[in-house]
Amino acid sequence: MAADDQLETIYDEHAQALFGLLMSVTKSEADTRDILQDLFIKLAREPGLLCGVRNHRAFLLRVCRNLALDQMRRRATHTKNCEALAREMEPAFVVSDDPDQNLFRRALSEALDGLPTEQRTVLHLKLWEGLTFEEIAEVLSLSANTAASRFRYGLDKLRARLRHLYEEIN
Amino acid sequence: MNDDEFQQKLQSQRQRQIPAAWRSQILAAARQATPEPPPLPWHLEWLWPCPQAWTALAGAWIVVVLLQLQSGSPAQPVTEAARGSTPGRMIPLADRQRELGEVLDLFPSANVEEKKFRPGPRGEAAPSNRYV
Repeated sequence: MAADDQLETIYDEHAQALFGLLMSVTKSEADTRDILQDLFIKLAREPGLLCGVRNHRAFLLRVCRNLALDQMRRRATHTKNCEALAREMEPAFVVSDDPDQNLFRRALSEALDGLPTEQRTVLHLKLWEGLTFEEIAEVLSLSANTAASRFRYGLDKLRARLRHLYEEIN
Repeated sequence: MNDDEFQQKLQSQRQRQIPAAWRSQILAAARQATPEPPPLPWHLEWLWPCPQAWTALAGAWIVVVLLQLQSGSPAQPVTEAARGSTPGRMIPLADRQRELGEVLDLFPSANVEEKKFRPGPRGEAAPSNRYV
């Protein structure tokens, strides 16, 4: 029963962050759910997986990201029509009562979707998970400098795409 | 717009929450995938109902054995008894029995007989016994 409690604790502490990253990478709620379930099945089958892991959040984010990339590769193999993928894209942000806010969020989602996965992932981890570049580097298995440069490139692209809307709203 | 403002604007955009129904579904799927624990070895299964009680019992036995060893080995009293029956101790007992007998006149001729059987010097022997 201790293993069940441990799974629940892991879910309560990290599932929201994992959901955010997976939605950012896959843009599909169904894929996100499948990957999350795969992750927890893996944790149940290998109770010692987190033993000795210093930063559980970073470790789980990395596992999720790898599972998501595997899923995308399988999906790309099986899906011949890329438009089918585009139709599955789902908004990553909550719907607001403010129409201007909704407009900005929709534009932000589209701008994020237009970024390469690597840049989008770094932006997500930095902006919405609050990770440092060192932590991002650990999650994505790259150097902190690379993480920082990807963040910079991604942020510049977002600003360019959202500039007109941002200035219009403010 | 500067970098900090833009970043703050982006960070203020609330991301979607994970659907609440997923928690029970995902955890249920994970529980079903949990492998059955391997059966316990027979000795653990036997001790399993209350390992503390078995441990306490074993500890008590160890204490008893240690106390027994400290107070003397169980073979020692037998040795002592055996020592009590040695000839060295039997002789004073025989002397006392003889003294008691003399007092009670049970052995009135004990000293006489002792003198009678004591061999004399060779010079006092009968002349018929001498070789010529």
